[in-house]
Amino acid sequence: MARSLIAGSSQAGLSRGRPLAATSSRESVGMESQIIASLVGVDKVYESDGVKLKALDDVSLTLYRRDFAVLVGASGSGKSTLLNVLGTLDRPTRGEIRVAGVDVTTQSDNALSRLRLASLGFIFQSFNLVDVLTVYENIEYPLIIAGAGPAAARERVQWLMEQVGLTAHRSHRVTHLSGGQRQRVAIARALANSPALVLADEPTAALDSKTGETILELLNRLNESEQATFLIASHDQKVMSHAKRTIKIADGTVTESCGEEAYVYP
Amino acid sequence: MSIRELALYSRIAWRSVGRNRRRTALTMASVVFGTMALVLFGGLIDGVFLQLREYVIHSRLGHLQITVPGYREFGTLDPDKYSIKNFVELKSELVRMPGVVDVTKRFEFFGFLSNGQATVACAATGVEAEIDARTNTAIQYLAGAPPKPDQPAVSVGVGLAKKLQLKVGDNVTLLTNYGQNAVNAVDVDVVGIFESGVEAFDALAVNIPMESTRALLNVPDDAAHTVVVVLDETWRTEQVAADIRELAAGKNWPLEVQTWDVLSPVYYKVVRLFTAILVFLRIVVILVVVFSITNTVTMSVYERFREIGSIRAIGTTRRGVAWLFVLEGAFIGLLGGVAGALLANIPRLVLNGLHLTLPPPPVLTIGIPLYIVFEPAAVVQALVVATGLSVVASIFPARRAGRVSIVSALHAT
Repeated sequence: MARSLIAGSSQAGLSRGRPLAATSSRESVGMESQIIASLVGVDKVYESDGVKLKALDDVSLTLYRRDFAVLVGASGSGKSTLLNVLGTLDRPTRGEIRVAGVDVTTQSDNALSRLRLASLGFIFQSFNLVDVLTVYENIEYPLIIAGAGPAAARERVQWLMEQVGLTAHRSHRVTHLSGGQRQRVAIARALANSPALVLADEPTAALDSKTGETILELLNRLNESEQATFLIASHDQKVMSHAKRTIKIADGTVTESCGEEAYVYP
Repeated sequence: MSIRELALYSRIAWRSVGRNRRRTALTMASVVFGTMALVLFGGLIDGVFLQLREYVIHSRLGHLQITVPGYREFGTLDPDKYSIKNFVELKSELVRMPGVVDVTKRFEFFGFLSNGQATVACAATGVEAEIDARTNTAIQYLAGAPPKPDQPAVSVGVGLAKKLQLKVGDNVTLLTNYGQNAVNAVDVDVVGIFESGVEAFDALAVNIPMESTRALLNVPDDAAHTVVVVLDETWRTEQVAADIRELAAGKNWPLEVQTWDVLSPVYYKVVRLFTAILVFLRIVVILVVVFSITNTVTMSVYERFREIGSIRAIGTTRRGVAWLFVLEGAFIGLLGGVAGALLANIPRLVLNGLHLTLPPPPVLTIGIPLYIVFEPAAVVQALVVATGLSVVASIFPARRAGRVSIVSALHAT
């Protein structure tokens, strides 16, 4: 029987839908082993027509296993830039960033692709799915390029579709789905390879409030069941109500990080 | 890259072909027309070569000619020395060879032809009239017919007939001082005026039956300057030439065997010209197809910036992204190529059915019937070229797609 987060979570790594990434480190004890990602003294400067704009200014931040952190800030405060550099989509101008134990600032483009594939999941405001693929195929995409075997990939996709409640839509093209359904496909895709860290940039901004609430509940459940760390950039108060931890950012600087002390891991 | 990954990219590329149907249709049209042009031009040129080949073979040359070595260089000075002396025995061996249809001998000599008022130089050929008429099916008789074997008559080239204002039934004198003999002459009737298609030849040519030739040249029955061999199929030429060389070596006969393509400068001149034209046309078609595909794939890259950003974000490498667009270009090329190769049959059948004649190629005066050959190998080649070109044309925009900044791509509208 497949597990269902909708019906209530259970332990990851059992029966069908076993996460494909190694999970042994999760059983380790000690704070050091619980650190999923860290930024130390990170700057990001954009230059346009000779004008320099500092989007991140000496940002230091640590994310722990099973964090459900919300990155809060006004528009233009640097939320997306922080997600981009942490997600290895962009390189910082200065500073050190480690994700899953890897110093991402020194890695080649191919190495970063492999890191994103294995250790990072992305959820975007506008879903960013592959339009010509079905629900099933979109979720299967990262599994295939990660080299998952057909049987394991099929099992994982089916389990994820059940978790996000889209089994009945498995053969539908994603362009035929509602916004909420598309975001659920994006969430399933982000979790396909059991990443250590999921980065979500305004995941509910394009959705109505009811659908947004459903999505946040889903993310909360997956945070527990997949033991993945979530960092969600948002300026939506409702998102903050789901957070275990709140990180405030203003003018490219982290001004407050509340709830970090609450993380105690067996 | 695993097969599953390649299959995934292929699936996306295949479905992406249909995303912007109007643009894909326009691009596909250029590939279709390009492939049609390649197949049709190729078929047309092959048809010209085929017909020209059979034309030169069946106008004068035959498939093979056998001479004594040195005959073509020195035969005019000392024709007896450079004559074949055992034609009857040679012919009896040749006719037994597989594929040999006819064997005939010729004497070639220069002389003068006079109509009583004027005398002009001519190049005469003594022929076995019956076999000559049977094998030289490409010679067109504008008036009269070839001379009969026992007829004291000649047929003359159209250019020579014009020079002497000859018509069928006129009496002429053929004069020659062949070899070391004294000057000799025969009075003969003009029974035919022919056109070989080669203007220079028609301005000098006289064909005279073997009986009159022997009387004029005083040559023995068993002698010949050249022995012409006609085969049932042209593709046998090289094999039969090798067999004859082997026969001559075995019998210790000093013989030289030359194939029709070596003997015909006309054929190779035309082949070189038409091949150059075909190369030029191919280059034009290739450029059109390449620019068209490059444009389409580039547009596709621009339209799918956001998608490129998202698949790069989830771990697709630059090479993986490039594969997507190369495969998309390849699919357009393959589809267009298949459609073009199939559709090319429509104009091919229509044009072949109209029985049109192409203007004469250089050095010929007779046009060649328009016939477009269907050559499966050429169709496969056109398909490979169309697909290959599409792949090549896609590489530049595909590489560009792979190098797109992920962040910029994700924020593209």
